[in-house]
Amino acid sequence: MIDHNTACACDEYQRLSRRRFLQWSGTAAAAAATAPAWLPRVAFAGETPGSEFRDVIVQVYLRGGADGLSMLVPFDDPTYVLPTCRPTLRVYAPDDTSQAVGRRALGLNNATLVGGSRSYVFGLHPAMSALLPAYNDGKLALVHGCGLTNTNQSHFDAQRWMENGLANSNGVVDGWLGRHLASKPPVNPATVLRTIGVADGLQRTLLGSPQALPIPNLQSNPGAVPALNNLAAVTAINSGGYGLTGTASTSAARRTILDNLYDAAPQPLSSKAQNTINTIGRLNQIGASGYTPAGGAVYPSNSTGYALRSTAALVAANSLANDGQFVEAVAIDLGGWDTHATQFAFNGATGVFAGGMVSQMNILSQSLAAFYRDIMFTRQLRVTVIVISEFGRRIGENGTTGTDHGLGNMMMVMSPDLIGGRVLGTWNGMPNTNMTNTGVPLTTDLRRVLSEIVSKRLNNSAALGTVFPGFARNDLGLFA
Amino acid sequence: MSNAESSTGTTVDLKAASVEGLSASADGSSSAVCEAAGASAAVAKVSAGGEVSTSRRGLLARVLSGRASSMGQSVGEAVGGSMKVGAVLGGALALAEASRSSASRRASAEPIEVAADVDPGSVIYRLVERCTFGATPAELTLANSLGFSGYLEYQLNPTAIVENASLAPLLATLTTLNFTGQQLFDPVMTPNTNLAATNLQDATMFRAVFSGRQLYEKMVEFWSDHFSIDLTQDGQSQVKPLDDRALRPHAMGNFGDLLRTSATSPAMLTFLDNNLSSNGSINENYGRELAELHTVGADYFYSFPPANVQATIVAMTRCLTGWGWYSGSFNDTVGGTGTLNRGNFYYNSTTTRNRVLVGGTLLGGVSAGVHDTGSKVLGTIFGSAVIPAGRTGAAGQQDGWDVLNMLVVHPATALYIAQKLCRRFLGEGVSQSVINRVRDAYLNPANATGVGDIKAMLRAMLTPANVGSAFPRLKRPFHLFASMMRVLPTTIVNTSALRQQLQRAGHLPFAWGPPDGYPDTTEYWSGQVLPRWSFGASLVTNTSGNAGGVSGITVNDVALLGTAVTPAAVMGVIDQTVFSGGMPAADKSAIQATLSAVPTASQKRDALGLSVSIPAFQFY
Repeated sequence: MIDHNTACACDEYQRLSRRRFLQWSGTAAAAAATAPAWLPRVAFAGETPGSEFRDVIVQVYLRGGADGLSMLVPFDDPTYVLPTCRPTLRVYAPDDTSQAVGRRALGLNNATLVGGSRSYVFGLHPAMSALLPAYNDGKLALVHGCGLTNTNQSHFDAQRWMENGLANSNGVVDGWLGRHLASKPPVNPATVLRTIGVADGLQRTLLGSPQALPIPNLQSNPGAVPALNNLAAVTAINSGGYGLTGTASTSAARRTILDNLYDAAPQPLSSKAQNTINTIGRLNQIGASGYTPAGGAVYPSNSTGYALRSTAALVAANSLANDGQFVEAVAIDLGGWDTHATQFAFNGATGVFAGGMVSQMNILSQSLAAFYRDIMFTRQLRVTVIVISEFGRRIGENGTTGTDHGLGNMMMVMSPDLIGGRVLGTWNGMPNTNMTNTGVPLTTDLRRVLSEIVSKRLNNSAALGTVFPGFARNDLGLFA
Repeated sequence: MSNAESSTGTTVDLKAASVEGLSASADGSSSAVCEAAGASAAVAKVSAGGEVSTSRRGLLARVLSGRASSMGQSVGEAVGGSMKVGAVLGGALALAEASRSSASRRASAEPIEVAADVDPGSVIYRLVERCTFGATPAELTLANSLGFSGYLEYQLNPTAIVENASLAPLLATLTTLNFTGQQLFDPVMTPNTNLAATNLQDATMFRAVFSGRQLYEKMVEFWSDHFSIDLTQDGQSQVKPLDDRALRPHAMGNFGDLLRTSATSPAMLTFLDNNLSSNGSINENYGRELAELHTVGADYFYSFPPANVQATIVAMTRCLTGWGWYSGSFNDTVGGTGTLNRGNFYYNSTTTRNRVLVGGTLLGGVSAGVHDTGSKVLGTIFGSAVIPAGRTGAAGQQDGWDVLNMLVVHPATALYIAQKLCRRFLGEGVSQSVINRVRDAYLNPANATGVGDIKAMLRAMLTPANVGSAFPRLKRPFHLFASMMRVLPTTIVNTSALRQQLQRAGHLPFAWGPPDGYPDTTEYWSGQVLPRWSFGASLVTNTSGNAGGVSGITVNDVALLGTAVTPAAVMGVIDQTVFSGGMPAADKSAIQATLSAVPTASQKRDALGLSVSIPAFQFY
């Protein structure tokens, strides 16, 4: 684990500093910095390509604190049904015929949790109907009251801690998925890139991983900016795709020079340069521009849809002959969930809920549904998708038809090998006083889900102590 | 190899030395300097033959290479009273006063045409790098003539700096830049609200590249990150420009003015929902970020028990109810008098529901945002201060001012601002003792503007010792792109491609979604290498009529390299222009090897594009 306190800023930066100091001190000959085990270009012996094919893990992070209580609705919870609880945001029971159909939750099988002396039944927000096929096929599970102990309700702390995989973990730099990848050699030693963050800067979840790059163009509109899902652009170096721009005829030569000169650059820049050079060629080889989603799947034309479509191309490429696994993890962000105001409201004229969060739920569910149809249902490739957010929101609606920062939340897991089609977790109801100041109760540590995935799908139970230090594995039984 | 060096045979590298120590023993002798430095490990030896004995590869090769000799020279010349680095360090304090007149002279002087003669390893070079979006030879020459504190004071007095003549015509092309709120909301004057957004982004880029008031512009950037607002969100294109215009005058003034300006800014009121918050129906979004991001910081704020934190957020939010801005969408305009323009802040007291108070005058009506006049207990975070009940009418706005003013003078705010500022300017590894000194400067009531004085913080931070020992920083993409355009002879006629390149690099101004501002860490920015390389390559491709590249931006490669007819000459010009003579030798020879005996224009451009893409140019 990389720790600010013990390593004096992040490890990579420390190496930068050390290099600087040694050069200034005039004793550069002694500059042999000890490379951490996870640095790229470490040779792992004894692994045959394809001999151990793990799930590709895809994390979809809902930035801003998604209101899970609106996505997976406890429509008969005694607190939830109070008129003072969520006067605007309330989603009614599927069978409540006093309400318009568009204002009712979608009923789900296996969606009852017993808490205390009663049971609670859950339903999906109508804006998430696209997820029903995956759920009904048993490939989607929803865990309510999930999250990480978080004492302060700050977006930035909560995101950091959740991505660290450590509750209230000030000072830790790297992420749980980064530590997983660092503790596990690549399936194929020739792998050039193990993980992609669809972002401008690598998400903290992936920090610490070898061979990790942020590639934001993954999510660009292919019509506007050449992107991974329009990789014809990459072969034409001048076009601004994932390649070095400038004079086309000298592109390869210039790339070689930069490759060499960046060998001497400080970390992490040197590794990132190396990864970049290698990745240019690999993405050309994959040729995602020609990617055709299977099973008639249609990815929506938005950044999340593009990101998942590109992820699908990468996952499909993993199965190419004599290549072995390429990308093992992809992190995708979807913002717009910090719904302090005008979250949504039922529109009597159109008969549906409308508002910012409804748009986000549509984007999310349609993108996931296409990925499910394409990669899981049709191609039957080994993938696990998790959908998480830094915290849920308050039980009660605030004064501006929104919700403020809360605690427990709904999380989703989607995988072909899942024992899904279930709502899991623990639900003991919600307090019915001070509702606008109280978050949804947190009853399931997120790491119970993540550690089960790391153990059963990423084949790395041996390193759980590194991936989630101090956490005792306690599976929910999502997988056999 | 100067005579001074030859005669001593040994010179010193001051880069890691304690420059305070150097100032204390300003007799100019090398041995005294060594001792004063007090850290033998930090002294680089130069052989009797003048060759730098250490390996010069890697990050600081630029800083370390070749020119270590001129430091010896300047120390030697210090004895002779020249305005060289050594003399400046020796008399830093004495020069502080004289610098003002010196700066004024420079401000009105002719453009500087002589090449810089500043050691790229010197502390004055480092100061220029920290104070600017890229050190140009002209800026270095200026800094060298003013001396360390002279140059700092020059940059701390931006209004006295005569602007670069090329800036005004560029800003003049931005039609909405100085529009009032009323004009920005006028569908005839501003038919395309997106134009207001891009005009602001363009102005920010133009100023970074062409303004002489570089430290000032860096402070504007710093505060834009601190009070970050995402210009791309709904409705912000019309009000973020007003926010920017309101914050700029205080960028080197007082933090309190900045905070109060931000709190009453329509853009911030909208971005963090405070305009929606009213009595009995609060929205705590702004209240939380006001403490966590804008003032005392998360570490301090959340060191208290959660219940206490929550109570404080609610109390602060209640104090700030009734603060809003006129957007022209109110549905009750009965009974008001006077004029309230769109984009104006208002305070709405509970006794004047549906009325607006502006400067104590009752104006037209509003439909929401009523002040809560109850008593508020701010919690132990603020010494259990109580905002009394019953401040009705215009007096109710004092509740909000009281909260803001308490936050401004809070020691945790001083520490948090000092920490952010020091990390930005001195690097992530800056020592706590330096941060504490800057914090103390913030808190000093004797400052020109009292507690929260920004210039006092900058002076405490940008000392020769702090700058000399500062950690290298990876340029963020905006800084990197600006620095390329600053060192190369660049003409900008259209910015859409530039904006696209910045977006691809993840650093388009004012486009960061969350309210915490663009990250300021190497960890974050080191991932995307390709846009860094590609911008350099593109920038020099679109020259002399070549297609491609960054359209709308031209680098005059012919003027720069046309007369260089050998590989060595080409690289010599590039070294002087881009690195002020400090280009790492290995990089230089690797790039030189790509050139034919008689380099073609295309080869020269490639060499230029590679040179601004090498590791050394990524750091400052």
